[in-house]
Amino acid sequence: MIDAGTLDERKEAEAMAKPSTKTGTLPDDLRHLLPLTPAVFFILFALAGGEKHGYAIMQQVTALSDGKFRMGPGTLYTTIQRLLELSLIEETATDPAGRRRYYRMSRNGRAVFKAELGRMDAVVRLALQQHLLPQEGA
Amino acid sequence: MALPLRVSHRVYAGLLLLYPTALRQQFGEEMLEVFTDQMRDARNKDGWVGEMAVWRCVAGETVHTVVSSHLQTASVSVLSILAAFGLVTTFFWSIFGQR
Repeated sequence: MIDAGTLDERKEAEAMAKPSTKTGTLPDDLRHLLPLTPAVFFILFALAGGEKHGYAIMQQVTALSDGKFRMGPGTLYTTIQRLLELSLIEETATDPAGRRRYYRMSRNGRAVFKAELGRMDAVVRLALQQHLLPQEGA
Repeated sequence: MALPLRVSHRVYAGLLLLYPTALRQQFGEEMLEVFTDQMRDARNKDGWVGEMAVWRCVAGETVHTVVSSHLQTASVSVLSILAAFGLVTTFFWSIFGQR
């Protein structure tokens, strides 16, 4: 008999081992999410460094965007709700006081985030090739 | 909790009533908690200027989020009604329309 848990774990390990920086490796049902909205992109970016609660995500987003992208609790939790529905993030734990829930990126979330980074990378490379951006060291 | 922070907390708790029920039920307490943390940090860092900056951000996003969430819910309802109407019309047409 095949152990479903082991099989799932093996599939996950294989998926993680494969480079998935191109949208071609992204499951079809997730491709329509690209390009990501700024809120989705920055929340996934914040969670790429590990699980966080809502306020830590908000602080990390401000730091990552150098203060250029700010969101309040409404945008944060509307986006978190959507990401949970899409299974791009998952809830991991609640703090002992029961006030804060922690979230982490799921395997699908990581794949979508990597695909978005790949897409951005391709755009920047193209812009550099066409001399639309200043060359490094210039 | 300092008085200005307590007032802000209560005002934001009132604003939360404008958000869709599902979001409020799932995340209302957390949203209030995050808002309070945000206000406390802004006050400690920049005083009342910081608090005003948080309120400006929150007011803008509340209008945007509330309007778009309710419009989305409304459009889903309209689509459901149209789909149901389409199904009923097709059903009756298939029975009576071909006579």
